[in-house]
Amino acid sequence: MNQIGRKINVIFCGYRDWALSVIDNVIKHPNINCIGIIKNFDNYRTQEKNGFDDNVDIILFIGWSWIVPKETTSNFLCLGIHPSDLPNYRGGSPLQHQIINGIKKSKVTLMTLSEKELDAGDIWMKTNLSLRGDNVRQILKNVSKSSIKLLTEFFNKYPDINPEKQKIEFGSYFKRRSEKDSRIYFENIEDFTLLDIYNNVRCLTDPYPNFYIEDSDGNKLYLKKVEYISAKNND
Amino acid sequence: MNVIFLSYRDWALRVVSSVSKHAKISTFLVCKTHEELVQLDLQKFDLIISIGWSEELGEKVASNISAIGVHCAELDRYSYGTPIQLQIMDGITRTKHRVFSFTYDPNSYRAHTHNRLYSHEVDLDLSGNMADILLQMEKTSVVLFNRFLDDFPKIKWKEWPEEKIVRFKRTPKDSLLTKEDLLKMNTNDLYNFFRALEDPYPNGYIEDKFGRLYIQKVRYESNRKKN
Repeated sequence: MNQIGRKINVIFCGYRDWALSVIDNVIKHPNINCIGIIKNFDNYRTQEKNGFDDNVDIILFIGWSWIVPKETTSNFLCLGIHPSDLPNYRGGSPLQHQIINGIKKSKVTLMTLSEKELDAGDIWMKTNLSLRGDNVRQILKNVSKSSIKLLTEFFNKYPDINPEKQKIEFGSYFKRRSEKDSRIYFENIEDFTLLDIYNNVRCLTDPYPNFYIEDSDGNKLYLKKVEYISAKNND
Repeated sequence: MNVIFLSYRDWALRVVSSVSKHAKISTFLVCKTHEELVQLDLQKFDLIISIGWSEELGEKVASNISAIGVHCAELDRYSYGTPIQLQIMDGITRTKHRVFSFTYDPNSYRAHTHNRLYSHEVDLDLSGNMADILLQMEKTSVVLFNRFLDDFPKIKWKEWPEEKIVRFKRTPKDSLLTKEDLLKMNTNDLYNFFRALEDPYPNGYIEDKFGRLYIQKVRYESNRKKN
């Protein structure tokens, strides 16, 4: 039994497939007493309106897209998972920004949700994340696997674990990508290596706005599925 | 009728499963390799129906039994192999799917169709991705073979005109597109190139000194306002 002297009361919030797969696994942890799983924003709002149970120890957000209001973050320990080596790649579309920038090995970070700044809360724990994979489905599988490992280790240790402040000044922040960011112009195609194109396509497969090449007449060629074989075979 | 089906691909076996139920077929045998075929006593059979068969039947088989297949082109131009790929890359979006009769001519470059005779045909839409096209061909193959069997043995053969343009069968190395080639093409040409080479065919790829990028699935959105 941990220092609390009882199981940790946890509410899980997640709606994406990879997040639900994480919840399905982590919920079985022997130190956890799951008191709720919130699978969409409407249910979250209803729960928030009605008030969370006072016995809640942690509200855990996995792949959650909406800002959690101050009333919740100040009254409960709200934790979230971010797929980057924080304080690097805070903000939106972290997987896409890292992959397009050529990063192959990253981290998943468990952090306290901060109402002040996005992804700037205290860091509890990190674990390795591989950014390899020919498509988003494979990459999210990596995120899911690493998140399960991270949360299992966290619940093994909690509450005998202390978070650390983020050194935001040493990190980076990126805006959430838009559909237009998935475009390159045909006349600029020479500026991209094949590996650049591969990285763009693989992190923008469904359900994200697919990578496309637009010509001067406004016609769009979408690349939906690719595979890259390095000449050295070690990239 | 006693029928031999030449068929080994999954989609072709699904066609066999459907066509073999035709009322005029009393017995049938599915042959998956050329070696199996040449060992059969062809006198015991009335017809060979070939579905997605790549090999030539050869003189011995073709001269001893009637054999039919389907070909997805408005022949004569695309009768030399890889007809779907060549038509798509030539910008053709609507073609024919035809029943033809097999003959053998060692001096002809044509694949299977040396005598230029066809009996039944339906339209075939070559727009869309390869999976859509192959699914459509599976369905139209069933229709064509059933129509042929409905009319058998009173088949009216028609001859398609001969032309001198030859489009030879593509090989896997033709799936390479250099960056220089790519820059000479427009987005529609690129779309046609890559969609024609989607699975199960050798995928189109671009190569530079660092590696190879295989483009396995594409989609095209035309700017209709401008085009």
